[in-house]
Amino acid sequence: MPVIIRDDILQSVEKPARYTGGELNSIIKDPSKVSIRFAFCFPDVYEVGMSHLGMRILYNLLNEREDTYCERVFAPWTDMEARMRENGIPLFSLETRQAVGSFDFVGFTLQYEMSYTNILNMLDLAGIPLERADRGEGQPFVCAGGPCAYNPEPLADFIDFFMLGEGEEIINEVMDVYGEWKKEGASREEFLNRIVKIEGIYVPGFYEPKYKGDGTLEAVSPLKASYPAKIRKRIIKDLDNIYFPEKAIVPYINIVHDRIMLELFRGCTRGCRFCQAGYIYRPVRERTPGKLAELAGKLQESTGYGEISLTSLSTSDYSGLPELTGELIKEMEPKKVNLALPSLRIDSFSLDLMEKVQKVRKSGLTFAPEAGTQRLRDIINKGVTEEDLLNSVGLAFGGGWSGVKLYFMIGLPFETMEDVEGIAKLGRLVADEYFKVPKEKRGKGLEVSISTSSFVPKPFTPFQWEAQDSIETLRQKQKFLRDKISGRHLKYSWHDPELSMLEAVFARGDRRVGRVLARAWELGCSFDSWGEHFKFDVWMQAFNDCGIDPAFYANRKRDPDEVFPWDHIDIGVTKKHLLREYQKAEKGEVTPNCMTSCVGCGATVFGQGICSEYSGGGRKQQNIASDGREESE
Amino acid sequence: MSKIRVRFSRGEAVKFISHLDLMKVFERAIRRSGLPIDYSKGFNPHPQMVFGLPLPVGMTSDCEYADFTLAEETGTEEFMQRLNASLPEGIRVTAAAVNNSKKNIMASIRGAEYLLQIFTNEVLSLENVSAGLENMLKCESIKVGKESKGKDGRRVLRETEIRPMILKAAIEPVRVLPEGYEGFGSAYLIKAELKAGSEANLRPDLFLKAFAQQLGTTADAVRMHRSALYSEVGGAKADPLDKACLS
Repeated sequence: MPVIIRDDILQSVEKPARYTGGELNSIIKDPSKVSIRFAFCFPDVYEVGMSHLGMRILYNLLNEREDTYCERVFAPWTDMEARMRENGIPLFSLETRQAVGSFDFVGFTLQYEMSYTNILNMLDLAGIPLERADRGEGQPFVCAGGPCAYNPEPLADFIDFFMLGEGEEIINEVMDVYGEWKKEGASREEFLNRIVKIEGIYVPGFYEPKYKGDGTLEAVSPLKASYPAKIRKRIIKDLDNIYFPEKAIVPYINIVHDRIMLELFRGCTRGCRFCQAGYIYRPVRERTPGKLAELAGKLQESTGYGEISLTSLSTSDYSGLPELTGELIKEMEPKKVNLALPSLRIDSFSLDLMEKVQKVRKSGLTFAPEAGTQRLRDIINKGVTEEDLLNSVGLAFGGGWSGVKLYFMIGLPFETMEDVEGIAKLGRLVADEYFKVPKEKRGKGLEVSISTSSFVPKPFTPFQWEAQDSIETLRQKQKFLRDKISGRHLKYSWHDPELSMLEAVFARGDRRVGRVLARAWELGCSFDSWGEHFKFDVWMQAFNDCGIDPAFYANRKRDPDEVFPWDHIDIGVTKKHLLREYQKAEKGEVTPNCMTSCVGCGATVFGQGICSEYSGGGRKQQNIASDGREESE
Repeated sequence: MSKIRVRFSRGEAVKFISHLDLMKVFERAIRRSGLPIDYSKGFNPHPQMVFGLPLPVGMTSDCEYADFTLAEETGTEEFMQRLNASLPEGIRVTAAAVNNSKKNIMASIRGAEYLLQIFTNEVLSLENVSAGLENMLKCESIKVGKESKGKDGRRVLRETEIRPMILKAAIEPVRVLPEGYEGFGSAYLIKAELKAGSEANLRPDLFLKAFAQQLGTTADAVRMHRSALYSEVGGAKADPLDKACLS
């Protein structure tokens, strides 16, 4: 039975089209004709969730199955939530407007830690018990995946099972098992018993954490010998032949990324030491330009979008970029379709490309030097020199651009006040480049916007052992920069250190911080990543009520041999490699990227993508790493 | 170069889409259909289409109008069929005609008819509401506070005279209650003909506000539908697809 939502309710909320569905290419099936109903939940508002490519891929992929109907669910904004609670309306799916509590699966994608309270809130709105231990036969299985699932422990009490790694294959395997299980009418526990055998499945209820006297972990161990001691992520081997939707839902309202998203490749070869994405998505695997051009054509025809965005972690690293962009310009220009090129390194090729494809005002270009001095950029292994940056901005100013955004982090490991000051200095050097360009060649109205975020140490990075700066220290650094960055062309903005501190707690939290999450939600926290809803003092009360010290998680430097809550998860890259990188960071030594040589990070275990080029002999090994991968860690 | 005017409907599924978003829906549908739309010249080319009176968010309609300029001659039947094949559910082109008029649709609209269902928690008798409407229509002047944005961006209430913009209005009970509206004390349907377009425009919510003032109670829920839009030829009402409006 569909949930009925009267017009007066929808009329009284902001952007009612967030809740009404029916968009072009959304999939309509008869729910009575399928045996599996999957509610794909994004724990944020519609405009954010619909901009997420992973959800779109899995939505279409699941709906390819005749036995399954996957529908979309987003977090209702606070105004709608209030009306739903007043009127007894449960959380509902967009396609059939049916109660999520009646689905077989409720799946959450975990894109950022600060969406976790929304997960609890959505479960509550759906009438599903928050804790997995309280769910019984006939209730949905609550599952989760996505980048934050690599440290599943903070959510371990709420999620029945996690799917680790890329979802295209594993999700089908789970559905196959479910279909059989449902026919047999076996128990809830039995289903989990069956899927725990699938590589990449983590069933938190089958594992138990033990802690030492000092509060650190002793181990997270399987309760039975038959459960895997380490759960290895899944990766897709051949991106050209894996499912990619040829149709995309076209939202009625503006969403954050309102264009076709074409995924060039997965992973990144660069190995920046702060960047989790750079490690968890290894190894790099590309789609071929021919396949991408074909997909672009089909997606354009099925959506009518006027813009195609080439997405990846670092577009300039795509080996087929000139070929692909040449082909796309030829195909799309007559149709008045633009190309958007995010995360492009600025050089003469890319500037020329942007001239050709982007029909936008030459207002802003973004650069991410991340740190203010060469010393610190070497520590974080960000392979960008001051010269590179100044050359790039010089080119951009010469090409008519007049606005530059510079992204930095403060609180990076081994940072000194000299490094912080370097941010302001670099900002001034960038501004100087503008004035070197002859007046008639440069655009009007120089604006250099410097923005700093606060470093959050993440699992599966070389900095996972590091302490985050305290809120006070981060504030002092921000104040310092506010004083140093002056002049009418320079602008400075910064992030709330309170939010970064909470991110640090949940990024590296263990199972115990789940209690804080539940308490914060009880006290009214949700939409924490939206400034207007972030209630730091309520969060502090939640920590206090649970007797948990956030500093233990955020601001404590770990011993090299400390057991981490995510040590039973295997992303390919070994802990030993990460530690080696951490030690090199301390000495300011850089590590070459995968395109130059293999450094033996461990991702070769998958034998795919760029790794196979080394073993297969296609790529010449310059610097053979000695220790390779060690399974026993 | 040729111009085509269409009439289209907007159903329940798409009634919460803003006018701006609706234009994007058409822009994308046209691009998908491959119809030879003409683009504006300039740095950022836009498809040449003009829409009639914007439909307020939350309202359904079976009489929306739009003008399209085509770079190549295209038959009206073909145009309608290809556009419908590309439009999402809930938006349907129901008629199309060649348009030779210089005046675009936006500038031609003069009046509109609305079906307004009002639901109140309070039980109101038909005599009571009918008398209320009759008394209201007898007034020579009706003033309501209209919210608008002031110079500083803040919302201000301005008294607005609306009586001359109400052309006709009648009330009757709602015969079949829509699902979800069973719990109200009363449900009435108002058929109202109001001035509309660029010269004088009365939004139905403002009309309902005036009616609520008259009754001394406000509707707890409303459902709104636009049943007709018309322009004028020689002082008489005319359908925008009427020959007289297209030549």
